[in-house]
Amino acid sequence: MVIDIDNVTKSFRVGSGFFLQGRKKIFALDEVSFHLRENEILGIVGESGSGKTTVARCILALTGIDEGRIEIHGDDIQSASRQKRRELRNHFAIVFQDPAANLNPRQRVKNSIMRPLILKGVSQKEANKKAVEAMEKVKLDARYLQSFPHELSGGQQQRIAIARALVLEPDVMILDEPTSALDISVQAQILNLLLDLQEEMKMSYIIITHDLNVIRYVCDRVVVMYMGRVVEIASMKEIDENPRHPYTRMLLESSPVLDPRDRENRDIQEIGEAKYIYNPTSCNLVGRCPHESDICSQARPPLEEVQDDHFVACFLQK
Amino acid sequence: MNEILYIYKKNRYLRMGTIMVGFLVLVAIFAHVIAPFDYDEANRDVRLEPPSSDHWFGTDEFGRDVFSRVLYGSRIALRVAILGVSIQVLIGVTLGLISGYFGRVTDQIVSFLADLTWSLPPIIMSMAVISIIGKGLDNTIIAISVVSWAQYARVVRAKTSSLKNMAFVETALAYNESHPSILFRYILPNTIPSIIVLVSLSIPNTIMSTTALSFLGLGAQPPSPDWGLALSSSILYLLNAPWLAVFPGIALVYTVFAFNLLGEGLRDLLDPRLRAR
Amino acid sequence: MNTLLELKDLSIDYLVKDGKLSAVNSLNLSINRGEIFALVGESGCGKTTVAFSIMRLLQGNEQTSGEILFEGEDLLTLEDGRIEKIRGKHIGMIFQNPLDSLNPVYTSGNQVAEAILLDEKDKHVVMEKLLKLYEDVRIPDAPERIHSYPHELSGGMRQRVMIAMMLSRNPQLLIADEPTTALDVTVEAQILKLLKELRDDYGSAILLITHNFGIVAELADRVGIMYAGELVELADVVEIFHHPVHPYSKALMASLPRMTKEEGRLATLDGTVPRIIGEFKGCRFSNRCALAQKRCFVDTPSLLEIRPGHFVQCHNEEVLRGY
Repeated sequence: MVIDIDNVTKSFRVGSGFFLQGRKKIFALDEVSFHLRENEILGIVGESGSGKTTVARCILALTGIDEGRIEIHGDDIQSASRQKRRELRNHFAIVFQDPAANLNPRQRVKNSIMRPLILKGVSQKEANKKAVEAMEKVKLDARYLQSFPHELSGGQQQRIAIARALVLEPDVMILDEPTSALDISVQAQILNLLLDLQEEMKMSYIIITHDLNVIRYVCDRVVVMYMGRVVEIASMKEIDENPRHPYTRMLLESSPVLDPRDRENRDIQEIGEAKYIYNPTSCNLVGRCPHESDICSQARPPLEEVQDDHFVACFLQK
Repeated sequence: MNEILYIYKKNRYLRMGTIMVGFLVLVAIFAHVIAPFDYDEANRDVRLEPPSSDHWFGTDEFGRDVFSRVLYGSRIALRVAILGVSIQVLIGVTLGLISGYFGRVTDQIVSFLADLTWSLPPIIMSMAVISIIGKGLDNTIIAISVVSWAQYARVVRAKTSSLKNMAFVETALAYNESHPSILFRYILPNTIPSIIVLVSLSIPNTIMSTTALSFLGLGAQPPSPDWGLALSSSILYLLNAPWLAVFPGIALVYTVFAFNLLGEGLRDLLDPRLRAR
Repeated sequence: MNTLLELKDLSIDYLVKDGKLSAVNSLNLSINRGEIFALVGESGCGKTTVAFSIMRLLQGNEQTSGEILFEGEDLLTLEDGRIEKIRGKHIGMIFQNPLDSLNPVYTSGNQVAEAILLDEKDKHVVMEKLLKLYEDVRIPDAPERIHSYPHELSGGMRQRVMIAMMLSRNPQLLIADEPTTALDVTVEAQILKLLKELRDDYGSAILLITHNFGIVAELADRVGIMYAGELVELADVVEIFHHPVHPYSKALMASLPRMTKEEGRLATLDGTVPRIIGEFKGCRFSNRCALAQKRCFVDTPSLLEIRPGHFVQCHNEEVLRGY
């Protein structure tokens, strides 16, 4: 196991208030547990408010957590010393959604790519060499190293963000909506690139997205999140063929099918929208779930293994 | 580079502003070459003479050549601009960065200070400061700057707040970049366009304020060719020798106008490019 | 007459420092009453420019030629007064981010009512219509919701309010520019379902502008694929997805993630979209086309009807035949 996330809860206060008083508490992560294995591509799928981006930030300890443990190769990163935390971070690389925002607009691409290496103590000469190698890996001409980000297209910018992620030879690459802002032909290129790199360099990926089609294409296992909680964890195949949680099914139903002939088969319920209220003693899907029963509003469903390596948090599984 | 030249050609304000300010700077640099007399060269025989071929702008009550004094005065105006803005930028940008980046209590304190210094009338506040540190041109500049930094702090704070949440900053943190490093490499460079615009727009204000203080006798002291001081001493002779007020006055208006144009032009130059990104 | 909107030889050029940038080139297409037509393409293909030009909402620094015939009238030559009457009443438009389109200081009900008031003076009738509209767009608790401000509503709600606003005047054509890009997937599905039902109930045609092929597959009756300002293929939605003919359309369809990695890799296209400034002869896709012949670089291809209702712009005989 590369990353073990155990019962992590993270809340923060929103709203205004002088000296932080009188603000509402929301739970970005609510007793979240899952793990990442060696050499696997894990997808975290959910809509806005699911907590999927917060998970990434917590794994890197860019933000603190209230409760729980996050272990990287056995070491708890959240409670580690500053020095240890910096060491643990070296296992990771991260790529965010907006290609333009991933890079410092005032720095040449070369410097953006080399920076993580320089911070680690690598010499200029060596860093330069690695930068050129990384550009080759992402199939970009080395002359773009001299460019500024705004001179490049979205696809090229995203490749550079990936190149920068690669120079540190991370064990784990975290990609937060890596292709959502890109055209589909560019998306195909980036996804293929990511698959090739993963095979070649034997990394693990955490891919965070709302696009189930992308998940289906690249992921081995999937974690489904809803309003800060994990509702289902299973292999991609299982999720496709045997989705157990009603929310997972909702997601699958709602996902665009990319085949006009399947139009009539789709059954879109009027399921309203998520209400962001903290329900410590009930399932979050109450009010939207087509299979609701009494027990669902009386207690919070725990995440349980219902089949081999298939976990669901729902009372109606029996 | 080509992009800048193209925008330069299209933007009238920018063109005029750069030419006018450029002219001012040249005058200041070469004042000692252009000016026929020294600024404190008094000649009893030609006191209060109207403009003539010897003295283009006439002479003052001491027989000094007004033209030369106006020319040398440009150096003072620029000194005010450079020194004044430097102090404001130093204080304002630093505080803006810190409060925008670290937020919470630091932010509350800095914002409070900014609101305080900004809401009180600058001239009165400066007078208070001068009563502590004494009169003189440089002291006036310091006094004005100490009460005017809030505009820089506000702009930089706002930009910093939005920048610190951007992906490239988060990524840098993930790569163990230290906070000071992030401020200097990632945040500060991206606030520079906004700062530049503010600089050219706050120069006229700074000049006007220090001129007002000099006019009141708190700033430049005789025999300085400072335009504000010139205006002050010209009051006695306004009816008989209006040229004593007219020419320094025109110089002042020209300078303020020039920097305003430049500021407007720069804002147009930098804003749409920022938006396009 | 079944044709509602007809674009004839529509060309739009932007004046930039290097010359004339071609955004749209000789576009020919027509939209029928009550049909959902999707104009698709990737960034820079010109689809949004087309949408804005229909509403005469372009900035003013462009040169337009050709005709945009709406119910027979050329929108490009109408005086401002007439265009304003048509905008909103006969042609409505909803945009990507409803938060940008709604005024934050007025309640949602107020804004929709403003639209209704343009046709209806009686306050009671307006209120009735308002509530019915909210119900039609499936906003729950309508009597309370009309008093909500835009920032109090979720993204999906806001978009429903926008749709209500547009429907209030019962336009014949609704232009939807990336209507669901800012929305979550489950909300998007509901909005799309809503649009379809409204087309059925109100009879408005919908011109859908998007790069999201998922919603095209969901909604569209016919599809036009644009590339570098030109229409390269036009056909019925099933044809486009299952029998694309133009090399670009084929490449696009092959890059849609419709499989797992075990089943293979997505197909990709090399090269980038050209920026056409000034004179250009030949096919705009030629520099990226695997089947390009010498002719493609010199002669501009025209749109040919290879099967009834299926148009393709290409020189290559094999391509046109290889259905």
